[in-house]
Amino acid sequence: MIARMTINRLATGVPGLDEVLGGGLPEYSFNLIAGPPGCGKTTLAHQMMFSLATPERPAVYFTVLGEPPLKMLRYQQQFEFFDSEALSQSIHFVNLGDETLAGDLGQVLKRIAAEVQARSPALVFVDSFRSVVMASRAKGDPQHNLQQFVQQLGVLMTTWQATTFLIGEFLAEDDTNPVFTVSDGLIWLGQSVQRNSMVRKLEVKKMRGQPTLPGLHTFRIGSSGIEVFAPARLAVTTLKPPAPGPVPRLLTGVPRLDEMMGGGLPRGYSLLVAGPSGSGKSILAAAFLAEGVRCGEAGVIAAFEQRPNRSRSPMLAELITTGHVGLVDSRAPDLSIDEIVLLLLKEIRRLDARRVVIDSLSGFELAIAPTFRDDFRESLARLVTALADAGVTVLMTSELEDRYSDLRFSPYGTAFLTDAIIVQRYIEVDSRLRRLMAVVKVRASAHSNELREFTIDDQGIRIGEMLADQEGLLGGRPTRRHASP
Amino acid sequence: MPSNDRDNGRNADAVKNRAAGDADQTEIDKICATLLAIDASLSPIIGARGVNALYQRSLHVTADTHAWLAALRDDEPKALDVSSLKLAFAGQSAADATAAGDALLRNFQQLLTSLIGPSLSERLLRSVWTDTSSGPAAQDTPP
Repeated sequence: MIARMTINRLATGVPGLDEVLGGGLPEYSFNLIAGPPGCGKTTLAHQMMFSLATPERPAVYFTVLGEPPLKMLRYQQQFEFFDSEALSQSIHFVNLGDETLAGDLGQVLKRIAAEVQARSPALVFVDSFRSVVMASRAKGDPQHNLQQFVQQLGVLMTTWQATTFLIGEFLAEDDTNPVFTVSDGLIWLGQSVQRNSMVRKLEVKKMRGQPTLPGLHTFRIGSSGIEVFAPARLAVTTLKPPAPGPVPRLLTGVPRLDEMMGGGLPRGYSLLVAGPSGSGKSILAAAFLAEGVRCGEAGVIAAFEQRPNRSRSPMLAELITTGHVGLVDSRAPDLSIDEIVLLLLKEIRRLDARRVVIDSLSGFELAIAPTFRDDFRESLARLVTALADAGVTVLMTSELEDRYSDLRFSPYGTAFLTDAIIVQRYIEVDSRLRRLMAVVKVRASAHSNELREFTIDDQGIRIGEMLADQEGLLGGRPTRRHASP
Repeated sequence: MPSNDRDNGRNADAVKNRAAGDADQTEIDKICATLLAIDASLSPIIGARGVNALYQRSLHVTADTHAWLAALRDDEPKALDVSSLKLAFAGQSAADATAAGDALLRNFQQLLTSLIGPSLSERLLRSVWTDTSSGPAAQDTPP
């Protein structure tokens, strides 16, 4: 049997990046960090460097032309990861401006080699490696010179056992630059602008020898540096035989609704509550969380109301204040569903929560950045799966325009995603608006098929009886049923 | 940040201690040696031209109070050269040369601090103050 060499993987210190990289950075790899100006390349490099460098395993950061080093230091120290004390101990900045201006690529390489030999760094950064070649006076094709320079640097760094990052500006993402071929890893940073919303995105286009998470991943630059919102890892669901006996059921906090659902909402189910504005969806959601707390189960609510303090019910506000229910209400302009999933999972773990409410999907769609709206349905499916994997029971509300011509449950076509559906409607009887509720679906369970009237008072939702003497309820304007002769 | 304030105070004292006294050739040499030590510490990090740019700006600011320093300004991008400063000092009275040298070093440090903050400036120039300080030990500022 051949013993396979194990490549040591370094934790980058950038939240979420190790997951996207497929388990961290391979040691001694030769990587490119590329993207247009202002996309966060230098910040990413600094954050990894300050996290990884130690006096025993120092880093050398070569600055070339482009951003003056003084300015780079001025701005980078604004981030919390920047540690002045690390300078000259575990981190050495080396300016190659003079060598580069002289235009001799050989000289630049020689200087890099000399510094690497003198300091034996475990990490080497060259920012920006493209300027090195741009300033070169070497004859011939600049692309060829760039490739040659990068190739020589690659050989040098790998043999000196340094994990290396070349930072460079590339405007076109589909750049078929041969340099990209030489590198072991390629991290592409970019920005997506839609109307006045800007979202930063990162893609690991290549990382030799390990399974990266493909696709574009949102990241944000805050005071603590870069945070990548890696998609929630979807557990490989192995088909397990169902546990013997009936699935345990959760009470919703509305006793007669539990009866209508066949004894409550089965644990682990996702429930969609659809209805027009003001029909009582949020009140039902609050009752669901309060009932959980009463039964010793903490909850989490992701709220997207326009005015959170005004529209929240006092009971829910109390549960949030007392810490029984965790609140996720990010209003970041570059909000993505992946970030919401991360925030929800964090709260679920923190409180060991069993119940989750998303109120509402309509507000949620408005809250996320426009660039994600096209994929809203797909992302929602990921969210529901991630929450199901976390073992929680989910209640989502969905604003539904009352259309009396058809029976609709959700504008997103999400009905198929959920295990149970409750629909609420208004009807007109005797010049009054009255409310109806029906259980449309509870997967693998018997449930009521009745349209029940309900009212809302100080105690919450009260479910009444069927309006047996009315017909045509779903049309919104029922008529009195005539007694059969 | 009290520790940074203290460090800066200590550095400023070190500047003062070094530049104080009779502006004889030894004092002039000390000021120039300090400038060269600063250059040696900063050049590898921000480049020789970067250091010279800071030096030129410091000369400009110090020339407000010591007009004769204005003649030393040279905007050519190149490495720092203290030979002309040495010559200019030699042509001044002892008191004025010492005061100008003192102000020049202080302005350089203040300029650097305004750009990269007290903590990082202190970190980058720590070896300069440790290696070239020859005056009496700096005292903490009394509360």
